[in-house]
Amino acid sequence: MKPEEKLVWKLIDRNITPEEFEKLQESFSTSKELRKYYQQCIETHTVLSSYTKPDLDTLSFPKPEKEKRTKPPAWLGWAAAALLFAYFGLAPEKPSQVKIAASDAPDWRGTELSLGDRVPHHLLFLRDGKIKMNFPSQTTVQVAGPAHFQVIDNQTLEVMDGKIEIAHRGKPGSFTLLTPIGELRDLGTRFSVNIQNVDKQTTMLTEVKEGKVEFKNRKPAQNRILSEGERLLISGTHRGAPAEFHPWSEQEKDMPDSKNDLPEFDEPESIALQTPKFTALDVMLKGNLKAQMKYSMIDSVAQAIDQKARILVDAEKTFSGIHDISFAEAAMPEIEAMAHAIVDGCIDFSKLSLWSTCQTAELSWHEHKDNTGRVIHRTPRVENLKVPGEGNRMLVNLKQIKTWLESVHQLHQEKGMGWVSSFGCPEDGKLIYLRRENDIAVLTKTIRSIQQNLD
Amino acid sequence: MKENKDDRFFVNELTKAQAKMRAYVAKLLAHSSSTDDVLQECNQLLWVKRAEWDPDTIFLKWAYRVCYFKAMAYCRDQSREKLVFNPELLEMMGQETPDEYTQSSREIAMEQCLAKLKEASRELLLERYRKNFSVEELATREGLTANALSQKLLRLRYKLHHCIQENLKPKPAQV
Repeated sequence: MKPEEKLVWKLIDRNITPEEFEKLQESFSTSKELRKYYQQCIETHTVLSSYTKPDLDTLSFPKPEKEKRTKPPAWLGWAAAALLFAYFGLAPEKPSQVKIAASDAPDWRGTELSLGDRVPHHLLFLRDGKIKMNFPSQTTVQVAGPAHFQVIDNQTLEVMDGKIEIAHRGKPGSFTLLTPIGELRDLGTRFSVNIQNVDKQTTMLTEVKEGKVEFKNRKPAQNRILSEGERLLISGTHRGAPAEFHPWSEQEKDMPDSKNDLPEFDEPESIALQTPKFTALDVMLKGNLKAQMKYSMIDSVAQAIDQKARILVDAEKTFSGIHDISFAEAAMPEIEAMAHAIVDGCIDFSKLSLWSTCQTAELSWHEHKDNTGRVIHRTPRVENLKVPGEGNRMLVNLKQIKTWLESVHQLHQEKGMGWVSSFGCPEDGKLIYLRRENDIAVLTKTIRSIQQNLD
Repeated sequence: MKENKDDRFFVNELTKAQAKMRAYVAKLLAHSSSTDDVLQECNQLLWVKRAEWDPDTIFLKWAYRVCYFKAMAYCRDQSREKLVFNPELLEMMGQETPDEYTQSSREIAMEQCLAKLKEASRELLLERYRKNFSVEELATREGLTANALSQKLLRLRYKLHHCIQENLKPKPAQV
């Protein structure tokens, strides 16, 4: 054990002298490895401490007794909630038998699940894409994002919102879908549900494709059986509130969503794999919020420049040199204004990275196949381009502006210094000439700097 | 405050992040006994600011920033505390976030490593952590001086930690 490592453990035990602490601080300042070691030791210490604590995880969560409840102070409520949530969050879960059977470009937030993974018993957020889960009750559930849902147990799924398609081949009544306004018990059937929440109101478009489904909530009078082919819009505020039932058809335009938008249920293997809509840049910047924000600003500036530059590009294409006037001469004020805005504006373009000003990489897909050779999963890969593409056209436009500016400058040399002066005064023309020369030099330096900035 | 699905999702993320956040705060506070108090303040602040969190971004990164500023504020206010890192080092450490291993994966690794220790050594280490006995009491029982026992515990912990880190490393795929 190195002396510094020994000091780390002494610090964790808070058994370190001020002199030793000073020495350790110095070592931390110079050694990243030691700082990393310190971080890891703290985590080990934390796990060791919690491991030996009395086993509280087996305690059951007490149900609140309404009769005895008194109103606690607000801070106590928050603290208790935090403790309870922390308790449940850290408590070990019973292994789930529910597995991901298929997926189509799933975009998870929080917990990410892949093909074959067991679905944990906590709240999941599928932002986009589709997944299919197999329950041991011989139930297949397809979820299309955006959806918040939670597998409660091997026979129960709770869905806060989202589009769900269920096929139940097991014992009638052995699968339950919990929704914000009631529960749907599957009586050996296929059905789809689209749950949406607006303010306090939940609406649930339910369509029974085969068999029967029972809707229940805490108002017994509300219980009803939905039969094959029946389509019902069920709305309400919570599971204890009366629900309203309205028949609906595909033709109705005022429905929050139409049947066509629901994910079509097929057998698991028929989920079509589609290429997700993202670029190499999205993959490159994934998880780097700072870079994402920076790039969105750069991209906005690039678009603004491109909008202006394209006007000149289009004008140059249709320009017919009347009276021997070149395009550079005709568009000189616009070209100079654009160049000057870049050179003398509020943005230092020379600090931009090459990747943010053009396309330096492209996305390729690595395919994963099952035993039958069917593609079941695709993984995106970023591959650098040998020759960068235009991308957001920032670099292309900077080069174009420089070229135009050089044309004007060349013309100025040919026509003499008094050329651009309103009064033909060589001194005025010289000042404009020198300023343009400076702009060209700065633009050249900026472009070179961007091309060399390969981070 | 009414609970809605966004709050539930937020609480889920906050709950999952607790162990990593605690390790991060403990690191910045030199494992001070005030770690849990500061962590609680961080939780409160995160809860108050929950509307500012974009679910499209990584929760822990945002949480670490809040923890960092809370830890900074704590260190600034602790003029009497001797074991406080200097601001430069604090900033440096603040930028280095814990690794991605979850507490449960570390626990699994630790259980495997504890199983490799001799039973007597394992019991000694765990008893020390259970805090049922003081170092002096344990030393008397083991027939050692307090200093010798401390050294023994230090070596055991070092060995265990090394084993955990090795276990956490990704294993090469078997052919």
